[in-house]
Amino acid sequence: MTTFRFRIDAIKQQLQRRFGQTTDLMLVPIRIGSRQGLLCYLTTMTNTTFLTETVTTPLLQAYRQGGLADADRGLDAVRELLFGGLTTRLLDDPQPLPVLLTQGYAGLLLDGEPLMLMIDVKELEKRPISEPTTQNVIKGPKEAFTESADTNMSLIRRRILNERLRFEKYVVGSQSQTPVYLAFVEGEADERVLRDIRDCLQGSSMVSLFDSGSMEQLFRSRRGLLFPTLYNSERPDSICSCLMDKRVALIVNGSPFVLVVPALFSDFFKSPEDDYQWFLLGSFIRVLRYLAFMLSLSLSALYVAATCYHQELIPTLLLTSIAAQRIGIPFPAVVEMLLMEMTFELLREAGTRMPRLVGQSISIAGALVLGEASVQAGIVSNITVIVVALTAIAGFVSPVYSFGANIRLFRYALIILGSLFGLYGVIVGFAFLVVHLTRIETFGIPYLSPLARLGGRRSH
Amino acid sequence: MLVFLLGTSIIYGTPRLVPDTWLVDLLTIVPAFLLAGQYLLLIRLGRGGNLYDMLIGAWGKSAGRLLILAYTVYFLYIASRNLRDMLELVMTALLRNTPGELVVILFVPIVAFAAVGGIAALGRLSILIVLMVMMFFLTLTFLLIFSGSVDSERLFPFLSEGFGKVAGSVFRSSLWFPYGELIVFLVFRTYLGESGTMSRTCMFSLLSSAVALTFSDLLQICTLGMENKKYSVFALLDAARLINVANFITRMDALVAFIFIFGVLLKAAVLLYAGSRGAAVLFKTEVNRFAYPLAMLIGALSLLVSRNHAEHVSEGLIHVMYWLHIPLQFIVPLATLLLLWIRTPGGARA
Repeated sequence: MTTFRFRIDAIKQQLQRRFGQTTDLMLVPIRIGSRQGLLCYLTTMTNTTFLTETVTTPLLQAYRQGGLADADRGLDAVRELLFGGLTTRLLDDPQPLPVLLTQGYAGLLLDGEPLMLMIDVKELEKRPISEPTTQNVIKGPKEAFTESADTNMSLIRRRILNERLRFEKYVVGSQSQTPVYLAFVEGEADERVLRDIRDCLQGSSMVSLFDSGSMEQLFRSRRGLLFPTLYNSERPDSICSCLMDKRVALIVNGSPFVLVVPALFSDFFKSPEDDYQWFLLGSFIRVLRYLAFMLSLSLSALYVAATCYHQELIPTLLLTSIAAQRIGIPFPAVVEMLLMEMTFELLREAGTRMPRLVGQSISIAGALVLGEASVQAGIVSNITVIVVALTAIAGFVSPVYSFGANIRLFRYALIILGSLFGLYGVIVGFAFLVVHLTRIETFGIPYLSPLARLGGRRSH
Repeated sequence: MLVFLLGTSIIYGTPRLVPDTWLVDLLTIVPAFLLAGQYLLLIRLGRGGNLYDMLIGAWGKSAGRLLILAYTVYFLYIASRNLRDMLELVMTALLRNTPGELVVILFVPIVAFAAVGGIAALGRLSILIVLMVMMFFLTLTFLLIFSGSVDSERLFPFLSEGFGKVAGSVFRSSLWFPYGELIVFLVFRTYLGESGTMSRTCMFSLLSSAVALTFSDLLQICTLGMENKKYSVFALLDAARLINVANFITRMDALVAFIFIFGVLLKAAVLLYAGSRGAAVLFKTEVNRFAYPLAMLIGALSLLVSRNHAEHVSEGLIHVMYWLHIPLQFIVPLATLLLLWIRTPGGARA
């Protein structure tokens, strides 16, 4: 049996073949004692100062002091003596070498040695922990996740000081090789859910993965079209409370949004702040959110239905004021409503994509020019503007942005149904929504779970 | 999960043939318990099978299949009648000029969509809908009280036509209309837990629905008075029209329509699911293949079932009662029960 021996020339050739002419590949010839060695790493993934301080300098010093005079003892001796505190690996096969280099390892080899030493000297530029941008609270922790999965895991671990907290690493994306970490509390999380997620991660056919949003598409069940079945948050405290609640979190490297499965309907109406306040206030705000959800979904459709078909449902006084405003408006109520809703969507989209400095001019144009002037010009009625504004404000109340974003589309369907079939259309639209909600299951758990638990008690 | 029962009966109430309908409701509970007892006994003898298994077990292959066909058609027919009820309400209360076909076309896919979801989804749906209906019902009651249109004097004269008439109405109609339809649940028997718990939920749901119905009728009589209620087509709707709180909250018809549409949705979905299950047993394929075509059938039937509303109501009260409800809800199950009893060997009976 002949054991493989690393040869400097062969490895050099192999690396140059695999990496081509990329500028960040460094192949540095060094000498340890009497022997030729090679240090290889990617400058973009490693901290060069750290590398010199912890790898090269000690080697040199050790050689000078004669500690390594007995150079025949090989690399494992070097590892024991010099790099005790670092994450190191010994390779006996050059096959995984390129992969390890891309992960931020530096490779150290001696000519003719059967083993090769890999030292983890990864250090990347990363954003410091900052305040959350999408899920703000007034009172409560102000830390948010960052793009680095290591930082995110540390943010979770320092909140749950429990030895049963587990992080499992998976690699997703055949090209991008993105690390994805599965976080859960052993013994708490449902085994079946865990198994499903593992299968899903291992069997994924994704080519690249840059944000947890794409991950969400992977897990979204076929039935859950309108409602997200994954909760996402950039707040460590909310993720930790989910972990304690027998759930599983997914941390995608490169995304500040951590996913939680399984997510239920009620999760999207909870803000971590609710628990930090007096319970009555928290519950009140939570109920308010449900109401706002209903309002943002149905108000514009109800307005269209009522003004077109069911004038008798509106109290007489209100009816006269609505009718008075609508005199001279050239469009039917539906067109008016759709027009304003679309305008608002445009404003929102423009507002988010705009450079921050120009953003203000958008809001001025929106509020003054479109709102005020269009009413005065008699293109839309005041009440339509009020209704649209109210639905828009109510739509922003959900603490999780993705929830409101999906359901917005359904509002248009409801408006059109309301304009075609009046109140009946709106009710049928709602019926569809309710049936849809009851049919969704995520990982075998009904989406409307707290309600179903009530039902479970009733049926057994 | 057995709260399905409340479905349409809350809104439609019991057939109003006699003045003291609320008393009828209360009295019906007694024979309804007997009827439910019969079904429960059937379950115990059926040993884990559902209604269709039991029918084949008791009547043999060909006669059993014929009966399954009968039940399938029966369920679909009831579903289409429910749909027609809703259609009439929508046409009278909300959309006077829209063609009924459109209303049905919009509604039917959703019923099928709900039925395809399977029994667990239907159960969740039912809980949600019952909660909703209860909430709206309570709102309605409060609003009626606040608008000062509830007057308990209207309950009198009490028993003006004697007790016999009331008792007669119990057996002639009310027993079969809301309660007899419990038979649907025999189809889902295998999904609904053990027979012990089932009997308890069954009794509980019977009781609660009786209370709800009585309450609804009382409310209607108190607001409308006996004469009005007798002639009104949708009594609850008419009652809701009387709401007027401070001249602002007026005309809550929409609320009633909401209750009604959701009730019908649930009931039709359950019946459709039972029907497609029957069809699946008959043709030995899976259930979901039938849901959408059968839903179309229900939609068409609901339009064709009668020429106008008067015919629809009279058909419901007289023909359906004697030709469909009583045989299929009482006689066939009873005969099945007896057959199963005879066929079961003496030792296994205990």
